[in-house]
Amino acid sequence: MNSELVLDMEQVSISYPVKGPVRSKRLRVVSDLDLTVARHETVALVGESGSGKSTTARAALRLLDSETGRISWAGVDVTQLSERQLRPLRSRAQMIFQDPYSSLNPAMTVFQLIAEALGQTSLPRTEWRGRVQQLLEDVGLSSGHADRYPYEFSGGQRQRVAIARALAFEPDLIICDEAVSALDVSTQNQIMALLARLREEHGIAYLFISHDLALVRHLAHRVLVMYAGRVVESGAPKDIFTSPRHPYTRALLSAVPQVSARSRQERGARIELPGDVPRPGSVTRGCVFRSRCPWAMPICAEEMPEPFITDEQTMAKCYLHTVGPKLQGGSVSSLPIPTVRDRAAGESTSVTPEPSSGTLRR
Amino acid sequence: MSDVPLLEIVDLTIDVAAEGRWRRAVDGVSVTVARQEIRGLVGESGSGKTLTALAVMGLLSKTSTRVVGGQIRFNGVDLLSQSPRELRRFQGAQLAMVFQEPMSSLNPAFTVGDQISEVLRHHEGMSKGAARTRAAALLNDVGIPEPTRQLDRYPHEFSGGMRQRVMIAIALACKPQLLIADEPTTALDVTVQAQILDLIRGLSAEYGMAVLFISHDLGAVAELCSEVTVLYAGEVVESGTAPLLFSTPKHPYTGGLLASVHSLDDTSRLGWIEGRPPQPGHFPVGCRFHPRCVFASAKCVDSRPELRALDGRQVRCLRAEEIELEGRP
Repeated sequence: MNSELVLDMEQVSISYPVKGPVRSKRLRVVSDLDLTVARHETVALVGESGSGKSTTARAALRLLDSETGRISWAGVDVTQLSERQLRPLRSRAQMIFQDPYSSLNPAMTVFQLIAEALGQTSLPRTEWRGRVQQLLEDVGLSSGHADRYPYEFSGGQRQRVAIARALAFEPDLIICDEAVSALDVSTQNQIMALLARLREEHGIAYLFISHDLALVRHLAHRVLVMYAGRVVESGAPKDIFTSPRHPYTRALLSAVPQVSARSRQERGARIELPGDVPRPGSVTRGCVFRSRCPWAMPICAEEMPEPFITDEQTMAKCYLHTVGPKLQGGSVSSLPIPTVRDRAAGESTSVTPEPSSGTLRR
Repeated sequence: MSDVPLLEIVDLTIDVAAEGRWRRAVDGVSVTVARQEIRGLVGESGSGKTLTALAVMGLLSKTSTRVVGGQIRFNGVDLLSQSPRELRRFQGAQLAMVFQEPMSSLNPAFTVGDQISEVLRHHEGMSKGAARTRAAALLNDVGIPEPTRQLDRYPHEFSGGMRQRVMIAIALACKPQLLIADEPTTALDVTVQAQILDLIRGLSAEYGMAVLFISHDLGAVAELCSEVTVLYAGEVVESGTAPLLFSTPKHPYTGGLLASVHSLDDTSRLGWIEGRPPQPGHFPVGCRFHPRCVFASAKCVDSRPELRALDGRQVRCLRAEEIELEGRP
């Protein structure tokens, strides 16, 4: 039990109950997830819609119950704690969302919003005014903003208010769920610079959830790539982004649009992924990515590959490292892309029928 | 006929109702789209991109907006002087548009087959059977597998990327000469976005169709467009070929947007433009960008720059020759 870890999730699986016509069952959306966030660290969780990123965030805060596994906050095992037992600990981890307009009460002024948070701390009421002013200045707003309502602010300013409110709890960890995705790119960078400054000044750690790989490249110390409820690769951004060890990471990187003509040329061919992400619970054996992987081998249908740890301490769950080309931790970028299947043909005839293109075959 | 540009927007000026008054939102915008050209229209929220596009489509709200000047010539015909009835011959037929959120543009109560057929029956007077056959062919064109089976499905049964493909199929139904795509990939995952950009590029070549691609994502614009027009505070600030503008920007706003772009291989910089874009009715005097511009001098506060030709593009900056901007070659 490491108290230097503000968040420690070990072998966490999460499922949702689904009512069926005959009997109810549970759909597993996150499987065997290991995730740690150390003090002062920024960990990014990337992946496409349906990969389980937001579910993971909610489970990390115990807003959802996990099915198996263990969750600790700063060394305290919170997996089994009741809501009442959790309450005094809740202020340690805060969350900001994509759209602060829906998470900030529109009928409250900025002062009231932040004071509500201060009410959960031990700060005497007489000092609230001063603390609110200080928090607003911390996030680049002025004390004059305290008596305004959320609708009077632009998107970027509203996100600053949400950050000030989160800071009021003096948290160890802030979970940012697509917190800048809806903003113009220039505003995104202003908010990211603010988050970086707050990390240095207050020692806050972040779990940063995003579908934007290039953005994550700029701010994360560690990146976890999720696909269909599993972490398929993790490591330092410079390793993951320059020499991906998992085919899905390579496919994601090959699809990121690039402004620079030089980068577009160097990026190489895009890897087309036929079909859609498998539906939750549809892959019960083998690798979750195999139905769309250009390099899938027979063994991939047998069992989920074990984590392969490379010399750079990145982790990839892929048989390419031990079977077939035996990359032994080398980059999958070196592999030639097998003959590109005709897109239409690829989508209609999935290689393996079991996790077929989900939404179209309901 | 063919030497007339496909779309000529000339001095388009639009007011929006805000704070109980008419406020200038688009101020003398001129953009030309040649036949089969793919042009990007970029700028931050509130720059006037979407208003310009809606004006071309004749879809501006009558109550909250008014066109106060300019012309929109399509094949030489001024769309602004057409009656609503005459306009309907163009809308959806020669001119088509796709939006960011396909779910809100598709009717959830009708099958996608019905929604594609409706366009064909209205504009082309096709029979029910012929329209259905053509609808299946269109779904096939946009890369939807088993098109005949998909015709009887409802929008909610499709994933986000597939819904956007359905929207594009509807837009293509009458083989438009111009497709206006307003942030069509913004809500999509990156792998799906790449597929949709490929699709638009491929269909543009196959159908000989021009595209006006509206986006705040310079990466997507660079991947797709040959020409780019940059809008700021209701004005064109720079316009030219995409490789030229992205490698050697001349307007500080274009430079600022490029510096803000997240790059996968160059993490040394994370730039931004200070402040935020002004709202209609609050456009600064002088150069509208000067309060946010790191190069602004006294003359930028006093006089309003004109759009002028410089180094193979149009640029609206008094100091364009004096300043050095970093691009993304």
